[in-house]
Amino acid sequence: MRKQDDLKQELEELSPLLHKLKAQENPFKTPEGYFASLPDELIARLRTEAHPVSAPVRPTWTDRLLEFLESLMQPRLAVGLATVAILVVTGLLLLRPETGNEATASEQLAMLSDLSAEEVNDYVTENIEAFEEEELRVAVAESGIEVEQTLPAIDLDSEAIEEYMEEAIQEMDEEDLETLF
Amino acid sequence: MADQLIQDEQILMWMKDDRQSERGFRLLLQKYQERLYWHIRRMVTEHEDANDVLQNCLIKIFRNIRQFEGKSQLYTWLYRIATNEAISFLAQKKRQQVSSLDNDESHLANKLRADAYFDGNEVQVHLQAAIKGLPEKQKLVFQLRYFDEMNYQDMSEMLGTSVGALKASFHHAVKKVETYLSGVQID
Repeated sequence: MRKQDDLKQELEELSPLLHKLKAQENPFKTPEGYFASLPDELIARLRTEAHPVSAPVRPTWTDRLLEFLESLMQPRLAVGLATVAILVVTGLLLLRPETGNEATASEQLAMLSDLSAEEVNDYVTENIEAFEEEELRVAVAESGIEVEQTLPAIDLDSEAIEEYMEEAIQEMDEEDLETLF
Repeated sequence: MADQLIQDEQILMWMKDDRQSERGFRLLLQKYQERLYWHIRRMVTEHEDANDVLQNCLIKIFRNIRQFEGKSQLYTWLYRIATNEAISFLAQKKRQQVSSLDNDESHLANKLRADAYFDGNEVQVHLQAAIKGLPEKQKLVFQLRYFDEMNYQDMSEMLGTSVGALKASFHHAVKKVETYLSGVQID
């Protein structure tokens, strides 16, 4: 704050009455202990507003469906996919013709063995477009994984699922819906 | 004043640090809460209203402290927020009033006489009523100068008005208040 300029002198010159009144005590009061309790009150308010206590929200049918689909993806299917991914990548490396500048098949296999299933799975997921459907099918067949038992027998296309669910709901009566949820 | 500047810097440093923000806020409250309260109280008159406005204002200050860039003094920035908050509150209150009489000087005088948190004599009641009758800008300038004793330079920084215009505004306000007081009969 800057140094106070001369309010006293200014008031004396402008209005002796107001100058005199200024010397009187502040007529406004506050409740007892108001200023002492204000900081705690404010801090408590800030903490409450930062972490509001909300009532638990009942999951909707779409949440339940998503939860179900997610459960299909892990961990059983994830392990299966990772195994398939390793086999696909291994197969591709072994079948590719060698050039002088590239590592040999055995070296490449050694490099692959250092990778975790998760790393391989990430790679395949990111580059899934690069794999031929036939290669994937052959790799799965050679892996011995029982796909029919581990993969759900539905197409995980989101639009198709939405369409199917809408149709199913339209066909349901009120009692069916109550039984479901 | 060097001590005052160091303290403001300390407040700001702590408040902008997530781990120490509450500590800094407490220091800010220790230093400014009373001044801000009285500034707001004189604008809105009643304690309950002043408390609501002050709390909202301080919460805003806590949440927006990072926006303070140090281009003005901390206290003029705080006063500006408090003033804006009080003006918004008064505008909202005015819209909700059913009668235009709720806002006149005699209504205020009666309200003050009945207020448990006002302990002034009749001259002080009339002084408040006289201030209430001033145009908005003059009222604000009068309150900042007469009660908060803010110097013209800081006021200019806060309101974005020239020192000359603020002086003229204060002088007009003083004359109007004096004229009002000499016109009322005080027992």
